[in-house]
Amino acid sequence: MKKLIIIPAYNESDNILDTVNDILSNTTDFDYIVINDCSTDNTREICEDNNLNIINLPINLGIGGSVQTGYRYAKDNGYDIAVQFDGDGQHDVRYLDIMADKLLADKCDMVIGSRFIDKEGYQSSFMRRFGIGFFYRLIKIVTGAKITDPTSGFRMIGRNIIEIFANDYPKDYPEPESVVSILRKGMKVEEIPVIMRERQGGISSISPWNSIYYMIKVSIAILVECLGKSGKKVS
Amino acid sequence: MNTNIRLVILAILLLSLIMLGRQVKKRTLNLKHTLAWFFLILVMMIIDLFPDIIVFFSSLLGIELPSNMLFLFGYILLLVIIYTLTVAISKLSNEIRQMAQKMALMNKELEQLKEQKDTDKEQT
Repeated sequence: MKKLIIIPAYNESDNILDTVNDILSNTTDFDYIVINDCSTDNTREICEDNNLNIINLPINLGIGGSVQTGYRYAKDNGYDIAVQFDGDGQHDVRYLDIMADKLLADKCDMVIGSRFIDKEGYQSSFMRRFGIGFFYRLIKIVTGAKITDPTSGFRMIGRNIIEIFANDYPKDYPEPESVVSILRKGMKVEEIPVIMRERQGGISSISPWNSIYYMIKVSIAILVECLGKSGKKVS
Repeated sequence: MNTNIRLVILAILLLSLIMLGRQVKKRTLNLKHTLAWFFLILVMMIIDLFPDIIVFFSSLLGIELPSNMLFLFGYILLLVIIYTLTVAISKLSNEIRQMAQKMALMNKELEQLKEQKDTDKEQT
């Protein structure tokens, strides 16, 4: 069973070494790949000086494009499991095995690490929580599924979703839209409670004005996903 | 305005909305660039359902004929759409230039490595 950790990184020179060292010291059967999204700081130099496994994008694609690059890499190299792991220190390595076990034991297609099941640890800003609550209700209405943390980037997927996302993944604010997309295809998505840390250094890529555009765009994208028939997986 | 023409316009607008939605779902069109069109259609549907809005704004702005107001409004919205396209094209053009340069530099590096490998081979 080949497992890959995808680390999208844009200007994470403060955090990237710690993140990768954390992974190397705490996991044994996970490979990793850093996707450098055309950083303007010295993220690339730091990774190359330390011989990290890295892909350097020629232009800045954003989180969706970077993570999709990771999924393409996973598909091309025959990985069975891929997990998105942020380069800023918010995600915790200890949950990786728990997620993998759940994915396999419960035959899930995707396992999401949710901050809001046990509501412990860094709970994010008010604006973000409002947005997340909104998407929780929207997703429940259109798919019936209760996704408590639809914007979480901490997600693990199996081989069949790797193939779907490698070909088709939203370019910006991809998380809620992609969950709805696979739920509409009849895939099984489950969540486990996780504790996330606050961003350790550097700057987040979502600003206040962008939040409004985000909510409008993602809501429309989710509604568009509902056009056409939904497929139910035949098991 | 006659109710028949308003119903016809509403039907056309709804069909356009569905057609655009399906093209976005098929990934023929990007959602990001289609948003402005969705907004335009939505505004036109509101005006179609509540034409008094146009009458209100035209008297507010001192425009004599409400239909002139409608044309002005439509014209401005179209300019906004064209502007968003201009922004998108500029960004794409920059990205293509960057990628072309990086590819060319990569090819140069590759050639140099090949030459290096050939000279190493010759010396052994």
